[in-house]
Amino acid sequence: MNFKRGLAFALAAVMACAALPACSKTDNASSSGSSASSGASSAKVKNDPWELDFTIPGGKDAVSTDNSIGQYLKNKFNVTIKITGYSGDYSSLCAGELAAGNYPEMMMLSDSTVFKNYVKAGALMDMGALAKKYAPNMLTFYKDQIPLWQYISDADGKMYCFTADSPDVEQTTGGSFFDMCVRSDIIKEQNYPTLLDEDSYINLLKKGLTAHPKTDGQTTLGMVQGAAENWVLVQAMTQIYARGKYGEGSGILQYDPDTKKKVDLILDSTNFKEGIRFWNKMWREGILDKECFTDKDENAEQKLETGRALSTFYVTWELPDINKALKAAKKSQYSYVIMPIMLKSQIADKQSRVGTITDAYTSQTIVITKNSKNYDKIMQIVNWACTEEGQNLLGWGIKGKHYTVGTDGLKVPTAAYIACMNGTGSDTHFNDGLGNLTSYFFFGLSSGYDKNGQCYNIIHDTSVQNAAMDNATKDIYSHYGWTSVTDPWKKNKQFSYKLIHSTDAMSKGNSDAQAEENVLSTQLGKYRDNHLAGLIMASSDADFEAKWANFVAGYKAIDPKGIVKQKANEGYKETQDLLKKYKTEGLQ
Amino acid sequence: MANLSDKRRRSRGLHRYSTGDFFFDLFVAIFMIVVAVCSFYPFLYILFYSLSNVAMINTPLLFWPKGFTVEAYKLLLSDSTVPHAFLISVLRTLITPVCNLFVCLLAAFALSHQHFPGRGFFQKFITITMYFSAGMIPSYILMVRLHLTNSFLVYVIPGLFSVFNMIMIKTYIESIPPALEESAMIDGAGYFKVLFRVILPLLKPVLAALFLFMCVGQWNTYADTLLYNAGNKDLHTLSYVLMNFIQQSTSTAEQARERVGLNTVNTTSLKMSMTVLVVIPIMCVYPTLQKYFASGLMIGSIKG
Amino acid sequence: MRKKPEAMEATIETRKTPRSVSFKKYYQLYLMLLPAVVFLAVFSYVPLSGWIMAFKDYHLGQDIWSAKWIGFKEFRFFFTGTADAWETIRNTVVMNLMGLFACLYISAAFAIFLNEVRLKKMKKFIQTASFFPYFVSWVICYMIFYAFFSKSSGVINQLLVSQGVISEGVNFLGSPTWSWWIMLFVGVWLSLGYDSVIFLASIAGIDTEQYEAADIDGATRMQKIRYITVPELKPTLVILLILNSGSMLSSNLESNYLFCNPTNRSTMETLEMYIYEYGLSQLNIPYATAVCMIRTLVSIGLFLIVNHVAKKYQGTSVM
Repeated sequence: MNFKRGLAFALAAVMACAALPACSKTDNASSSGSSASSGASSAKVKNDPWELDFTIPGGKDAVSTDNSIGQYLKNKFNVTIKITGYSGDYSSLCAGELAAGNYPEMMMLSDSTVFKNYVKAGALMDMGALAKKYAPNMLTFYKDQIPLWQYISDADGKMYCFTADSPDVEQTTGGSFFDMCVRSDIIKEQNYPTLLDEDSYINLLKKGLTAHPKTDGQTTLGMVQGAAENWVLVQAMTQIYARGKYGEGSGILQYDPDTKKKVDLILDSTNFKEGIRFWNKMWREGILDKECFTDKDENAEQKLETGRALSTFYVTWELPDINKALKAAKKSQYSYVIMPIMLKSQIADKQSRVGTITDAYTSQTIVITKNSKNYDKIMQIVNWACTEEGQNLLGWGIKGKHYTVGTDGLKVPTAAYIACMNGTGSDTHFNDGLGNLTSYFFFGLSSGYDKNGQCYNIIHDTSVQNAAMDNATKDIYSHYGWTSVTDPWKKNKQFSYKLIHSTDAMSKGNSDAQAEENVLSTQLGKYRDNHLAGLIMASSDADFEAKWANFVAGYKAIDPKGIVKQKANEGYKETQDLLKKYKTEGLQ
Repeated sequence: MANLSDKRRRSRGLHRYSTGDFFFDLFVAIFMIVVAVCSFYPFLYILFYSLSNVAMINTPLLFWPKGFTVEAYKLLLSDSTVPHAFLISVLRTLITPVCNLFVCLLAAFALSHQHFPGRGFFQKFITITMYFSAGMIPSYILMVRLHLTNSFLVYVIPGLFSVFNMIMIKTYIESIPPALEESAMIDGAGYFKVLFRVILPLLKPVLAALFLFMCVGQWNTYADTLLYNAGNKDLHTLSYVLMNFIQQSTSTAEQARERVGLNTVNTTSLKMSMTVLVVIPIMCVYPTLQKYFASGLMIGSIKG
Repeated sequence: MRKKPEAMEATIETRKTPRSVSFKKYYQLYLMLLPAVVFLAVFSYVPLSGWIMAFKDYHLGQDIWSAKWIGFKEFRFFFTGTADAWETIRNTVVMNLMGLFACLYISAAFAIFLNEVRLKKMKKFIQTASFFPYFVSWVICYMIFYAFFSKSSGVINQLLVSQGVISEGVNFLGSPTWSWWIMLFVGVWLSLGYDSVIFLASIAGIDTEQYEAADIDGATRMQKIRYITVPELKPTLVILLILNSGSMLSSNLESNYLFCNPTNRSTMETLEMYIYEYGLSQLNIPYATAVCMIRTLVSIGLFLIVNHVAKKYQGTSVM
């Protein structure tokens, strides 16, 4: 039929015309490619006012000139930085921007897969070349990190990013470790018993439940966990095994610092089993909240904020808010304290407690894309950031306002800073521009230690953390002979403390998601996760052993040849060789 | 006509109120009460929670706010972008549904005719797109190529047509006796005139219903702002601003400094307040639309 | 289907006219269709050209033409992977079917009975109240259901235990036996007000003369409902059923993610969740596109089948 055919043709023509732009090369790929080779060799850049737009996932919308740090940057570099906080799926946004070619000039890529895609697509400027030309300070200040940055760029020795918070302090948030959080009044009532292994905690909590069957009219719960959320069950609760020589990790393989190899947590060690057994005992003794598997994180938090729960595990970063809420409700006797826990089997094995230093935060790669017009000006700021002066400003703030320098050369936070941090200051925006997610960390703020042993980032400084300690913690720690927030781990008489570097444990994986070892690895992970709840709810010791035996049998059946472990160890060797190569050969 | 049927109902001569009627009324009453309580009480719960001091809530049920406080609302509305965001939300909630219904109306009317060449083709062409999904990345690329990112038009243009609405309108049109259109066309009216003079007035119930759905959808949505306009403060909608605030205040470890009302509110009460704030404007518009689809409309004007 | 009165027969004869005359006669209709067609061509059909990414070894940002051809590799991977997913498929279909029928029939019943309420003010209030749950986001919805149905903290269980009906709370939210019923209840609760609006609009369009005639014949209210209202609502009901049939294998990721927890996984996990965890989040574009393609084709297939069946047995259809 003529009519229909004509219409069909017209439609096809419309579709073709509309589809063409989507298929053409992004016009940005060709322009500004010769970036690093143009212009003078010195880093003299013009000083016209310019703007920088930067998106931070989970951050807050802000304009730099609204705070004193940003004002300083404006005076020095004539730059106004506009930060957009993104609360959606940031990886998807970055993926979309890469596909459409409209990525901003400077980005933080919070996903290593996304970063690798950007590199592969040729969307990024060669950071190594930029550094050599505009930011030579970076090459000295971060000389330990550069091989790592070359490694994650995975581009024959070229470097396409740098990372902030690198190296990071031991462990994470505020220097405290993710451990047991216990209500302080029951520790006091039981006269500060020795607390370390599972049994000591079970005893403590059982006695606590007998002494306090009800809290403010509601049944007291021994321990709460928001295990309805997948990550709480599979990443948080299982970490009991990591309270020894294995550092944190949610995979099925872990790095063993003794043998310097990757081992299968379930098949090659008893730590994982004993960790799950701990939860099973807690369940059977009626300590673990029977609702934990249907509680979301919020529900568990609410049970803690009313003081109804005697303990929780792992979510130590929520404690400051929870304790503040308790104080406001005039229930500060219920304040929670963080205490270390270790498995009996680990103690018997004389394992050390391990703190990990993350040498480079691969989940926070900072890149400059080919859409950049101001790459030279940006790198000028980065160059300045890689000096003591820059790190001080970005990490500690303005001398005299946020900190002062004592006669011993050590930086001390001012009272105004501490007050604002604790929420007791009059100006709630005093500390804007510093700390997590409001600072300008993306110019290269490190969380490592300076020559005086102080952290470059004020929030990790021990004096700041100790000033933030609440009274209950101070009191209880002093009874155990601890004065600082890190003492329970670093100065505990019951175990030794060791530092491992994240780089030691790195293993080159196969980025092809359909490769055999990756498919098997996903299957193993899912199998493990699906059986955890059943194991924890076993009805008796015998039942637990039987369920565990079944579990292991099924686990072995998925990967009988041990391909996942084998490939991981091959990748491990490959990584260490690569790192050595980059160290000796330097930047390409 | 209304008076006639009322009179009939009132004159018991035709139909006496029997026991059957009584049980029927009882059943209806119980059904309605159950629905009303199940639907309305949770909303009251949300309202009371948002007005409560969370430190004082220790039972799951709430029949009134405990420790009355408007702190949550103050916090949510403290952001300076709220008034402008409100305006943007109102604009998109009014503009997009009107445009959408106009386009859907045209297409629905056209397709309700059985016998014009190509009808079958167009019908299929349009209907199967309901199940098309090309994925997030091709859609994102399309928006960028059409220069819809970072603009108000991204709230309007992608929403200009929806198959579901068209089908609803078309079904409604098909239940109108064709004699109506016939007589108008015999009088010499073209299709456009027939549509707007004769058919459109009869479509008020379904258009009101669909307009309500679209308004609610437009008012609540923030996903497109998130993806396309996140960097531009002037284009943020109210639901985006509120959602963003709640997300941001729970993501940083230094939230203590930011949350002035920390002691009396928590994330949940903030989320509850957001729900209330989002519902209230819709509830203001609702009664106006309700009278179109909840009460009867006479079509008795057609007589053979 | 539009009824064909005698008057139409005459016009059918005159339709056997040359194309040019047809076009002149119907050009207004084509104009009316133009905006919708252009819109769909740009927003629905053009992105389909992205389907080619399912067949190529494509990485983001790469030039699509230069990527290597990999044929049906991704489709094979999907089918071998989801062979283990029969449980999630079962969950998805059961929950969707139960939810669909329950929502539609209960909403229709609600609309019908609401119409029978005598007091106008009461009627308005109930109808407005029924609409509220629609505004509740999924996250708040879980919070509310938690407050009511949680094993020891939930109101319902606390009531039942305190009255001695049961000794321990029923694990509504955490037991595989209750998953489907909970999701059903959630679905109906959320969409009752919303769905019933469509039915109310349909009832509003029913000719009141029919009711008056029935009154004269002495019909009871149940009879009027059975013989007038229900048949008039049937087309709407069937249309809605057909339209939703295409989404039989899809599900709302957000809601299921919220209600799924380690203890009710076996009956709560849906196909979407399975696919997502299996590799969609790895930015594997060819795989994601292949999944999109399969999902679209299956939905269209289901829709066409159900539409055809409805046309044959009910006389009503969407197309």
